[in-house]
Amino acid sequence: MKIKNGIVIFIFIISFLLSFLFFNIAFAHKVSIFAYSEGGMIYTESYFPDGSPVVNGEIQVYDSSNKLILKGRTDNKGIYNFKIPKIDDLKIVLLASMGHRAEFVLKKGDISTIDKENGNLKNESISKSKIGEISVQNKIGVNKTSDNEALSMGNVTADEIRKIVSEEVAKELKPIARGIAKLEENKPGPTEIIGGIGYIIGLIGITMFFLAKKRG
Amino acid sequence: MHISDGVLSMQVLIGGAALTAGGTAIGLKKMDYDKIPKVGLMASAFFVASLIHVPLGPSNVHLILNGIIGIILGWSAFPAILVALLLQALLFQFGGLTVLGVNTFNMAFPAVIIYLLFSKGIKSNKLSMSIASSFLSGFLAVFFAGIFTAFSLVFTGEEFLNVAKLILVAHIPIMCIEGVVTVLIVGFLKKVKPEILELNGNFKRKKIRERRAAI
Repeated sequence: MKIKNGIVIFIFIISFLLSFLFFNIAFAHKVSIFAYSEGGMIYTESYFPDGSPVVNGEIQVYDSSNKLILKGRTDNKGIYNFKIPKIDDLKIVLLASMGHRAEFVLKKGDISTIDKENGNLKNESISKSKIGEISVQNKIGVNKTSDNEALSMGNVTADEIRKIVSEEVAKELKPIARGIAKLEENKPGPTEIIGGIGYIIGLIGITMFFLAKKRG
Repeated sequence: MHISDGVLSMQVLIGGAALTAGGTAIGLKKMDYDKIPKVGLMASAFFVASLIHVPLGPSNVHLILNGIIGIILGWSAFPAILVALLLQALLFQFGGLTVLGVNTFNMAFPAVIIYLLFSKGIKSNKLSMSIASSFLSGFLAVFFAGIFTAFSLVFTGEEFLNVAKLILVAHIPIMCIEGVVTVLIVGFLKKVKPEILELNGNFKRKKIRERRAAI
């Protein structure tokens, strides 16, 4: 009988360990969403904290008066992109079934209005060709006293430069912004786990203390 | 299976909080001095178990362990799971504070159901009986938790059958894993520390202790 027990338990342990082989055991529980705007579009990425994408999650976009203005679903990379529907504080909500939910607020100021005003991505090629002009103009303009005057003389206004610079800076900052958004996710580490267990032990102590008093 | 903040309607949140308050009151009443370390131990186990994850579909599932918690703690599963979920919400940002009541009820009530259904079967001396009931308690605890979670989501406009199907299908692997884990833990405890399962020996000892305390 004892040997039989041993065999049964052995089989269970083996099947238990095998069952783990079929799945990645990852640290994740909630969902996160990150959004940024560029070139007249808003790009969103949805993922679990371990980096795996939220597939086919529902995305809802609300304006500042909390009105639903857009709805969509993420693809198998957790990405959902849409044209800027409105220059406003947009609240982008991710609903990943089973009660998982996350939201991201894209502030009015973070939506690149420049792209919207000029319409399309076509602008980019134009602005790139203009960069060449500016550098030429700058060299010419060195002798002049007022920058604005110098630039407007060469067909490029200060506004246009501002636009180009902000576009380029936004492009450069995009990966950094994404990195920061991911860093802000605090994954449960040893500190949280040990801390939590510590709290529980503390609570045990407190309840035992009071119950002991009652008993005594 | 934690439901996040801002998903459920006010009525569901209040209902869940009320039910959890009731369950916790019963649990605390049934918790005597000797049971406290056990409750703490199971709370820690539950607290950590949620970190073991199985990614599936658009969401992912994790170990819950509410079956074994129910078997060991009975009604005291309520305070244990409440504390564990509170700490998870605060430290891991899993779930959330407003949904704490609903989430606790969804996890702890199945534990109590399991306790009422299977505690006799598990304590049985027949090996096959004990194994079958412990597997079922692990399996069904997750099953019921899924049903309750689906039910709380119904009021948000999701169709019950769809959500329930989705949640239950996603949790089938975890139900099986939980069943096996429960069998292993019960088998281990029976050999090493049968008192934890409140097998006969413990009852006698408890009575003796109570008599001594009375004197």
